[in-house]
Amino acid sequence: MKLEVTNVSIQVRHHKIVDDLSMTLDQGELIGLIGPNGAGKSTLLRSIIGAGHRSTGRFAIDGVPLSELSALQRARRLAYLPQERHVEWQLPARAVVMLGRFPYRHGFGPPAPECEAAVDRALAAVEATSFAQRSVTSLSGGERARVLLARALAVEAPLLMADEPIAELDPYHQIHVMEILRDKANEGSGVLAVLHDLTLAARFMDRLVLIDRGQVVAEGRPDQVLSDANLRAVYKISTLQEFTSSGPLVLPWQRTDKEGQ
Amino acid sequence: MSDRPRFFLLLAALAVITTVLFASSVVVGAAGTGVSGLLAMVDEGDTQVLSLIIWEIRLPRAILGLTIGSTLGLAGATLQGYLRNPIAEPGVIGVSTAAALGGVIAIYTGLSLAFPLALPLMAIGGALVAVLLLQALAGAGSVLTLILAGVAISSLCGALMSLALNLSDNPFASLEIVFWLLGSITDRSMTHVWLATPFIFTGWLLLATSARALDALSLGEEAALSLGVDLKRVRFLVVSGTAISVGACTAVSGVIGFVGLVVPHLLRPLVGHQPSRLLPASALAGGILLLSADLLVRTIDTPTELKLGVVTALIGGPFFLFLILRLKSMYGV
Repeated sequence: MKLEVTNVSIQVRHHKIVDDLSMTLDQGELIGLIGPNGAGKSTLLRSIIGAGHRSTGRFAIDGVPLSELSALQRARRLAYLPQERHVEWQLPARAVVMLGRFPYRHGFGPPAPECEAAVDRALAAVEATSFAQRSVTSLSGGERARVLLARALAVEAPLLMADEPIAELDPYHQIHVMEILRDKANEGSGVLAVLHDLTLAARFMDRLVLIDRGQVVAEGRPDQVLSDANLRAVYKISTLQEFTSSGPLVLPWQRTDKEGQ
Repeated sequence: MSDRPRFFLLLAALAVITTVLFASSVVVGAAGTGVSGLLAMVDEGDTQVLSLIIWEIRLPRAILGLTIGSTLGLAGATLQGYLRNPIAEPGVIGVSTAAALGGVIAIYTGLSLAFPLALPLMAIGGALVAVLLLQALAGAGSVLTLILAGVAISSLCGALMSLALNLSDNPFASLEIVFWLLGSITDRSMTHVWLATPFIFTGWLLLATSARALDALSLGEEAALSLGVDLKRVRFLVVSGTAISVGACTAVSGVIGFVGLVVPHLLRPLVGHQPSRLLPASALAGGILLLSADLLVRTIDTPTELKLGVVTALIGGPFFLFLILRLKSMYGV
């Protein structure tokens, strides 16, 4: 299954947030969507799931425009983990993960065995089985982030988009979440994650899409995209870079517009 | 899940209490209190009087107590789930006030004197106008727009009711308006029941249909949307369902506050905090609360009978304070 974004523009009050942008997400690959604050990353993701502002252009899965799929059909093909990590009620973690099976459940009967199994797999994937019965509001930030990720995994959709899945997490949990996304892609799903951590993006991603002011600036392997020239142009930063046996090491170092001061 | 049996046990327990209270509501009253009192009347050959009391006075009162309480509990639980806000209640979207305004206009213009059903009909009309206004003002907007529109409608209707009281040159009409606004189910007939229940049941159906989406909404609007929830449809169900059912309740009983706020709060921990399960539980418990409050009103000996709305506010007000204190100690806000 393949998600295609073709010539998409999104305008918010006469201001183009996304400008004629095209990209794809294929099964089996882990893609990082990177770019400075306000580049249009979250706006694009929200637009793909049908939230937010009116867009022009085409979103399609396997050639079928998303507008021709019903909400439930889209939900079964494309899972989405929003940036928002707030759960309003003190629901048990397992009940939160079970919400990922929403597109498959009807009526008020007990969940089907395959739903229970999908929830078990998702909880195991994020190592949250031990606290599955605890209330989600009583969990630590890292535990809660994992439970919400498990909710998105429980959809078991062939495509997954995650908006800043490692924001506000400690290094242990950042690496853990990246490993989970990596595993998901290795199992054959297409995974797209919005990231601000260039070091982890370089270390874990198959492909990076660098966007600035709503347009794709560079796309390709991490070592190609995270070039010193690209990062100076888009982020206005210099980096320390080294090529190790397990991939490129990129360390953001200094603001270039303040260099030499 | 293993907590399913516990949930059904809770519903069964609530249903038993509701049944007992409903039966007591029919049996207890000023004339011939209790089963023995009623039997005594049968012995004395007063069966005609007895059936009159039961059918024309007590049964309508019990039915209204149950359905109105259930509506307020159900609508409160639905709105709290939909707005993701534990202090939401039917009043926040302005529907109760709009219905009250309709009723006040009926009394003010003297229409209710000429034609008694004018009062509930005008009140239902007021609630429906409020729904149309809400859909027009906040149909596609955010939850915040909905709350702001509700506050605006509520304050406008409140101002118009004050205006009616201010301009009323008939002291009896003023007194009637004030008493009606206090909220009561005394002296209502089966006609009121027939008038209100079709609207109330329609509203229940709409609210119940939104239940599953409310669970998904606990993750926020974006996540719910990505799971296939049709947000516009849910809003339509919640807003129209609340307006139609609560509007119809206000039409026959006047304004009865706090039930929709208090009941879902007490029940939430008992249903595992799941918004969809809170709906049937709150409906039953709302009926229980209102039937008990009404029994209290009937049995407490006061110079004039206490109004039901006054009693629920007396229970609800302090409960609200308790809630604030608890939230303060929980979150330090």
